[in-house]
Amino acid sequence: MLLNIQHISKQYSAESVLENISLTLNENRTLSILGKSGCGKSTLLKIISGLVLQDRGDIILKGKNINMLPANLRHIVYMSQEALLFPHLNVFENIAFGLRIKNEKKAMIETKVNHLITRLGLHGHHQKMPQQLSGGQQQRVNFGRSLIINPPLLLLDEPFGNLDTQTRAEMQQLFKQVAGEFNIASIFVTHDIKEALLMGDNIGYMNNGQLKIYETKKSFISDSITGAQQEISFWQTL
Amino acid sequence: MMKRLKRPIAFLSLLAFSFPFIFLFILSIAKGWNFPNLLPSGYSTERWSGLVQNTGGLLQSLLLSCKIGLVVAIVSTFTGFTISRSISLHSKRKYLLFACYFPLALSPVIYSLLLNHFFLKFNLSGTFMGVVIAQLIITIPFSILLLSSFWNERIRSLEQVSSTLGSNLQQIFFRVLLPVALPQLLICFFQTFLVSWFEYGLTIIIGVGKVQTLTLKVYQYIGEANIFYAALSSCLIVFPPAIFLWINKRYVFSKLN
Repeated sequence: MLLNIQHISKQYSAESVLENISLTLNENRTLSILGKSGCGKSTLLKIISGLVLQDRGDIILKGKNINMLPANLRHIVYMSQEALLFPHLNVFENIAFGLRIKNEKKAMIETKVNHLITRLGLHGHHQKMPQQLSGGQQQRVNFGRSLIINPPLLLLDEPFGNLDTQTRAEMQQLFKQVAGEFNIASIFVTHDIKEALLMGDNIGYMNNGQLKIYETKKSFISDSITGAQQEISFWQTL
Repeated sequence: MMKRLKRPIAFLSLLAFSFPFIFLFILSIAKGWNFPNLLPSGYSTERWSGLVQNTGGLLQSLLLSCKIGLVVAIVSTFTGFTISRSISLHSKRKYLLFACYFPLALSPVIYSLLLNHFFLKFNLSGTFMGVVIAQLIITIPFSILLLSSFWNERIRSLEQVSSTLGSNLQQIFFRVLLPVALPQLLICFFQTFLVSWFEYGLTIIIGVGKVQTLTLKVYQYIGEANIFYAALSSCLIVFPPAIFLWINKRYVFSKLN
């Protein structure tokens, strides 16, 4: 088992954001978490990545408790809706960032970055600055920047939320391919039912700070609270 | 119509902007200029060459002003940057930012009179360090206010991304925050340098006339009705701001746009 989260809770002032959350994730698997805005999805991801500290509960990564480990030593990359590329660096340097801070050898950085640039369909954009790229291209660079450090776990917080339908579909496909190729385990948070079903090997539903993990996609669809049935009947009656 | 007027308007604006500089320069090389003559009776570079020989201590004042301005600008930009970050994360940031207006709302002269007692007590009156500290009391809050808008949600997110990619605090500061903030930091540096450069009230009270900056020299020459030397020192005093204005336009604003 790669990740084991046990009884995580978080409160902001008097408001409870996460209540007794537990989940497990195996290597090379993707867990989709569906939930409305403000249900605590982002807080959960930020806790796992070490950006926010939980009030209670344990995070165990590869059998090791990482509760007290700072974000920079966890190597769990958090990707948000916005690509958040470093505005002062070009495409090449943005992707190379994680290797540069580790003082890796120049030749190795060049080989790795160039490989990723080609793999992510960014050939010819090496020298472009973030503001010269489209939303989809920016998210590709963001992927490259995250993948290059070979993280044990990738946390995706509605990463395609800002993209148009077509680009979104392309990125979903690209992510599936890349996740398989790089053997990545990930937690994919979204408020889109179709995306949750498409991206996840396992699926969960989050509401008011509580998470329910479904054993199968079938059980997720048949549960009325997820809204999957309503979605299906909408398309059927159209 | 507007297109045809564009060039003359641009020319008149340029003339209006450059006239004081041209006028001051002519005055600084004039031998004598009596009313109602349109131009001086003769020209000489004597005063300018005297500058190199430090006639009247002008060169010394110029270097001293540069030294004070640079120290004040570097210290206040750096501290303003770090303090404004801490304030942006503080729960009482509204009140803390409001407090930064106090030194600026008070007149520097009144402010220095209020603080003079402490400067005397710590033997800082009439010293280089005293003047620097007095100016920093004005320029640090100014820097904090100027840089506080930099610390927005986006910058916070960039810090977080950088952290999850493996950066420690030092790497976040030097590899992300500093380069991203560079245009704002340069503006802050120039602004605080200019505040220090033109500062008169604080410098005369805390420096008790012993710290003779260029601004003090200009006032001294004006007081003596020595218009030619006043013009020469004025030429020197507008030179660094003119350079900064050019650097700002050439490098900083182009990066911000």
